[in-house]
Amino acid sequence: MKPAGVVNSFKKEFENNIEIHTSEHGKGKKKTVRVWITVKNKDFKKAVRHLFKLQEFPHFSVSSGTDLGKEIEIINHFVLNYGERLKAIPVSIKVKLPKRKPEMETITDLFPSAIISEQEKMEMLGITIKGIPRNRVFTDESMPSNAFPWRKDSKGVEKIARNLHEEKRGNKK
Amino acid sequence: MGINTLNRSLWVFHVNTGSCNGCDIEIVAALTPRYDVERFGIKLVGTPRHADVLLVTGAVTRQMKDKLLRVYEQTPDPKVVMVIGNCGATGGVFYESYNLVGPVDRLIPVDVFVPGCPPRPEAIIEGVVKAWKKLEELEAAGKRKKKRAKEAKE
Amino acid sequence: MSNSFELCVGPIHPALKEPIQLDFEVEGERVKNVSFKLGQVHRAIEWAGMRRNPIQILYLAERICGICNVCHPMAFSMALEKIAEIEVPKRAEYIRVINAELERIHSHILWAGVAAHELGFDSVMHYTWRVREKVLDIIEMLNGNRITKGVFMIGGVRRDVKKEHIPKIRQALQYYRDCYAKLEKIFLKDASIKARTRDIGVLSKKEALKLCAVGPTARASGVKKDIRVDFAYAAYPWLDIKPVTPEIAGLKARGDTFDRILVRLLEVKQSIDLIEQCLNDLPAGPILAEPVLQKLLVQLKGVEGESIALQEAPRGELIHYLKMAAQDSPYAWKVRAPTYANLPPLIPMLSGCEIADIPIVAASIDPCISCTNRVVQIDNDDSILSMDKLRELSVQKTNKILREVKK
Repeated sequence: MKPAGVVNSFKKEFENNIEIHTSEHGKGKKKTVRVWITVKNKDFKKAVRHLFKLQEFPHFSVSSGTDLGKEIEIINHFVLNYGERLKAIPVSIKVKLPKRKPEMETITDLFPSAIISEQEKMEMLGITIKGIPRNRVFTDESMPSNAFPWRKDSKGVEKIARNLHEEKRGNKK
Repeated sequence: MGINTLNRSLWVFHVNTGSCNGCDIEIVAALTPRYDVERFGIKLVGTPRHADVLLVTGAVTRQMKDKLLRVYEQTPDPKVVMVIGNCGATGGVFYESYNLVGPVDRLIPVDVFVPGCPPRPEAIIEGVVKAWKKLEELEAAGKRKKKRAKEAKE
Repeated sequence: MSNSFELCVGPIHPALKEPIQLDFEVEGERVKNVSFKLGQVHRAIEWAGMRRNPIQILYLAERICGICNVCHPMAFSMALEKIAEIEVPKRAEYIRVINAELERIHSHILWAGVAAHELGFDSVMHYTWRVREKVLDIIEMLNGNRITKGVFMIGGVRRDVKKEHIPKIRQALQYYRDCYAKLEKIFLKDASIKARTRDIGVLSKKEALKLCAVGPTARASGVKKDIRVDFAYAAYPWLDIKPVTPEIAGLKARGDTFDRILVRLLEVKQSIDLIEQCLNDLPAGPILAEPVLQKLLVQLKGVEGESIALQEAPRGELIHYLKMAAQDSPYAWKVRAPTYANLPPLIPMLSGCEIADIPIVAASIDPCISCTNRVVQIDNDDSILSMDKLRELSVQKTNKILREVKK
């Protein structure tokens, strides 16, 4: 399957409910194509399921998240067509969650290994992913419960952030 | 070099408090055949209770703070603490962070700093030599103190 | 009353590696379940990255991991080059591959030593680390430092491979070809290593696919995932490269610990071959798209957009997501290192194995975690085993292994 095939298949399935574009770089053997898809929150799970129609085992890489001001954007990065020389297609599926109610569905039923990624998003961005427990993965109790390091509007992090160069030294215990 | 014979081999325990592994692999490189500090009896041991020297790498994450303090307390006196690498000494490239509570000497007293990111095995060995001297001093001081206490008793 | 009890390993432990906590639920000698506690090494790198400029981030990215310190700055610069549409000179692409493959040799040999140590084979560990020093000498000759190198720059590399370096690199490659036979004999022919690793810690192909394993861990289970092949970057599209699976050695992929050793050793051989190809094809030309860093920074300050860079680190697929919004520092930066993806597959590998096999199985994904720990043994009726009984059991097990070894 070529990148254009992936794009068409998604367009056919979702018609007007999807924004899709590709980014191309390089030429000749070095040409790479990345597919970027934006779906509505309610279609997110369906879009992820659609990947399984294109390949039996799509590869899940990671999910990344960005604070866009009024919304939080969660991007799940997948790879299709691995295992063939120069043919892999990274597919990134974006959803935008409103800040007043940042909730989305989990994909751990389809990709069990997404659990670390999803818990990290809950911890770092303060979103809710329905269906998985909210655990602290990377931070400990000293992080205020309303502070989220990757949020641009969260001030709690600055309170506990420190500059190690400026610390008082020489503890004689 | 001025090292009188310490009456035993120097055993070290390594604590990684959140380093990037660069210093850790250089410590192992110092132990293995090219640099081979094992020929001097310097050995990595499995528990702080057997150690004379603590090697600390990393800028101490919040999760590792209590563990570092506990390891420090578990190490019997006289002990010497060595910090390997820049991030344990000053924070280095990780200088600003919300999850670091170091540098190490804010939490426990440090005797020898080995700067470098990561330091070469030769530098680590030089640090160990300094630690060795310090340990001898501490031991001699301990003996003098004991002797004085004994004399005072008599 | 349940017969199982919890065994907690880490975060500080006698082995040599990073802090991580593994909680095992064990029943007698069998591991029933595993869970992880991460975060002991969380240094808030992505958070700090969003407050620094791209050139400063290169040095931060290099220190995400001290062992794979080529791939992180490389992936970061690849993502940024895509956004800023900077074309890397061809010579720089080849030098990037040379550096990446030298690192792969050093990382895999380092791992082989750690694996030998976990098996209790310390003489082999010392031998492999001795052998590894040669590649560190070459790295030092090329870049000026043994571990962190600071060789990457956005739009190329900072240090050239000079003419006088090439014979020395070739000589080192020959040294590794000579050593390879010995390493192969030790790791693949030795009966006791075979007995400790064959059919231990199995990850079936289906599980590897389902749990999205990456790198040598996936390839040992017969999954042909290799970013260098599938989504080639730097100079890999021009090189002759195939994914390494046990089939290359004429064996069926079983996905056990032995296969993971085999795949890594074969990859050392592959890396030697790739460096040789690069040295033969190395084109002349500049090594940096923009040698004046101030100019580069000004250029990068104006770029907008997002991209991802995929990269094959020694441990597997590495991905950097980067979003620039015409500011000094990136708007968003996300790093996913291979071990992040390889921890979930560790659960089926470890479930059902024996406590004594935990170190080597855990080490077999090359996570920089594993441990030797003392264990309290309880048999089925909760009584503590006597010394004699323990001795008898261990004699039985040794005899069983000996029979297998003789087979």
